Amino acid sequence: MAHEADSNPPFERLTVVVADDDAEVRDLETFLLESEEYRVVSVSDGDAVIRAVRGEAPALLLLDFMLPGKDANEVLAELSRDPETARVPVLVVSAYRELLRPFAQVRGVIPKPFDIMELLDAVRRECPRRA
Amino acid sequence: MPSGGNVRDAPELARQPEAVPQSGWPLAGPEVLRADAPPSARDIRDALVTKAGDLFLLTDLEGNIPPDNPNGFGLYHRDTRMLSGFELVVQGLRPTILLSTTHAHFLSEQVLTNPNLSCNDGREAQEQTIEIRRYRRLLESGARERLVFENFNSFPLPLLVGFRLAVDFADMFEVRGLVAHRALGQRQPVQREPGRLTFRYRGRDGVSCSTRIELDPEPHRIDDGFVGYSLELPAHGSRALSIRIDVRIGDEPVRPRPARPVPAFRADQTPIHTSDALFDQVLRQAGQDLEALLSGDGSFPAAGVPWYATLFGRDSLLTALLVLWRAPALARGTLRLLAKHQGQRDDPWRDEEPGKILHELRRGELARLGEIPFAPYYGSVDATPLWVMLLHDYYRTTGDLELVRELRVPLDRALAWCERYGDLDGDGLVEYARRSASGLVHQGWKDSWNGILHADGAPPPPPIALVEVQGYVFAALHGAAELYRALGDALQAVRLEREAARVQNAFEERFWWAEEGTYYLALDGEKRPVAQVTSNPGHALFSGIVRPERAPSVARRLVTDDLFSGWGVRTLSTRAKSYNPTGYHLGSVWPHDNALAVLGLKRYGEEDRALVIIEGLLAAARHFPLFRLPELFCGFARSAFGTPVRYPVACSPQAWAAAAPSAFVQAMLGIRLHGATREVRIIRPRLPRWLHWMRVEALSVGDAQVDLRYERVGDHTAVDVMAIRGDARVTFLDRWAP
Repeated sequence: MAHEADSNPPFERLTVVVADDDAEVRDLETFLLESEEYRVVSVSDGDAVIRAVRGEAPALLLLDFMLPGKDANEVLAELSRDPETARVPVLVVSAYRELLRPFAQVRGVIPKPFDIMELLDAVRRECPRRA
Repeated sequence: MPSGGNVRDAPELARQPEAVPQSGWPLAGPEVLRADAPPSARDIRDALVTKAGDLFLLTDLEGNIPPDNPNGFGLYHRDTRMLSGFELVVQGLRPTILLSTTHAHFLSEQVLTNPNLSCNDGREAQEQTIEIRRYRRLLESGARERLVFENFNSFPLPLLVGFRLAVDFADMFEVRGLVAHRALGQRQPVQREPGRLTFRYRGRDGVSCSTRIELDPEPHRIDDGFVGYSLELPAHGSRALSIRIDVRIGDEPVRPRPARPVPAFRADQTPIHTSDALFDQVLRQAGQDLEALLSGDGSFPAAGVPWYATLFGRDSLLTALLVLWRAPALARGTLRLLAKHQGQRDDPWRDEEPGKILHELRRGELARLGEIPFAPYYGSVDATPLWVMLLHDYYRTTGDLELVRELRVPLDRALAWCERYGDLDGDGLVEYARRSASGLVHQGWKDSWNGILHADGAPPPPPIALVEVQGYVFAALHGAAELYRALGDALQAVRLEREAARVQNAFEERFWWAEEGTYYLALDGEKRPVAQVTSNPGHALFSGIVRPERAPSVARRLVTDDLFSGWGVRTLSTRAKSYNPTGYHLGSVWPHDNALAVLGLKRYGEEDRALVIIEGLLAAARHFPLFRLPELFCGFARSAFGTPVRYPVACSPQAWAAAAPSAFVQAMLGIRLHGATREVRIIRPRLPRWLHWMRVEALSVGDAQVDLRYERVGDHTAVDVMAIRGDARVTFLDRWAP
């Protein structure tokens, strides 16, 4: 008997980089996105975010504001200077919305504590999977 | 409530057929729903429930499904238990719970830790030095789980981690102990592949089921009932395991993901905010529960989880009625779906008759095989008039005559059922008598086997005419008259109005109980009144059948101490011989029952009494986990314990309980919508003393929207029309008008 994975048309597994220094939040976001069939690369500090975005060319970056090393403003400034990474869409997940400077690649801010459905809807909107 | 009710009472199903005189009413088919089947599903008060689409999962607080558990824990799809054992063990022990929660209706999370452990290398791990985070998400086709083991020790730990597995593919009716356990079909050999186990079963009807469990990384040990790992946890490091469970029944098409159905109700629909944060939380939880209970294509609510996670006529209709002012799409979906399953033939085994609206639709193997009469079962005396009532209320609220035209034939047939089959003995009342040997003895909402008793405890002989059913029929006839008038059939409208008047006269003449100042519960087959003081006359108020001069007395009776516990109106007076505060319908408190009474009181201008009931229910809600009103709770007086006593096997969430807070708000605000004229009518609004203000946003009437703000000023309630978007008007009335 065939199962879903056998019978569904294969999805292109898009990559999402999840950046949060809180292990529990990072785990939850990683789990939720993997359950949506995204490939997830999770990191916990600002420098690792930049390395991951450069190395993985993700379809989306889910970015906490307060990260060790570099905060979201610094990460975004560096990403936006590089044409290779300046177009990667970003969702900032943070309680510090007022500290965030304007960056063209930021598609939205999801306030913490976040609503699960709001997070999933925002990711689906920015990063629709293709069959 | 739905059939099967609770297993402890093993209610409504034909448990004591010999106790109910059936002379003249021969029973069809075998009696397969047995009284002596072992009751399996017991206390689920602390169970975790998650749901996605038609799939739901019931676990203990650790997130486990202990194999052979007596509580009915498991993963269910289409009334089949697709996973009956899934238990995490660490070094052979169950971890300790630090936290267990459902973060969303499809997501559970646990934080667990270790007891003192002796590891295989001889090291001792002190208690609470390993954290286990368990995330589980339910999807429409299965479940995904991730376990993270974090070692807080400064040395590495070899850890034996395993899962005890079981898959029994049991039918829901077996799990609930309503039929003796029987092996119906054939189990296939478990298919073992690297990192993957597939359990398979072929039903006697040829329908195949399978449950596939995949683990990443590949476990070190894998057999049919156990998978195990030797995890090497680094010092101050972590390891993660991922588990994927996919279930499948037959050749059902798997929904293309990520598409999600457009829900007929969203938790954030017509937002309501109040000055009371706890009330807001009750409303928010109720909204989330209703959204979670949407099933099938997302157009109708399942009655409740875990036992009633399927389509029920009465439950879906009353739920849709209670939230209609906020969510007409739920009514539209429910009306269409129930019309699709409307009775076609005279089939005593299913208590089916032409035009009748179903009671319950089951899809498990027993139902598919026809061994139980539930695919679908029609043993509901009130679903048919309630369907007509909802169609009319939907039309009044939205002005959508197209749906009425679309459902014209089912409407004709439903009314024909009321006249031809509903009145079994030609006395002008609608009554019930089961015809199926495996059907429900009682076919109103109090459908437990002892839900309707004479004052001396004797079971009334059928056919039984219930007080609330006459009200529903009256309202259906009146409402249908308006529908036919809108369709241009004035003659039919006049005929139905005349019939409604006749029903009302018969009701007042035969049900009025002057000594108690309320109505009898029912008339039995010998036309003797069932003289019990119950909550049911509250439904009569809701329907509008009660003559205005009698309403104050009925209202007073509802909130008198023997019936009103302080938390809500009991199903049965404490003075009744058969009163039992922990009985399913014999003294318990049901939120939806109270919501209907509240709307009935509002209809007759009894706002003060309505507010008494609302306050009681909302006070009770604050004592329940997540501020969620359950299917029912026990009938003990508020003064006795200061906290409501939970019923051990109540469904939670339950659709009509989740709909109740919306009805409370509607009663307070006095809102009645007339979509055809885009009119919001506000009738005697009344906020309780404990509420300073309330705001309703984006209230739809026709294609317009209205924002309203209510504020209590002394003993009065002021209303501010904050915004009107589109062509709509707001009018203020001092009394209920049709």
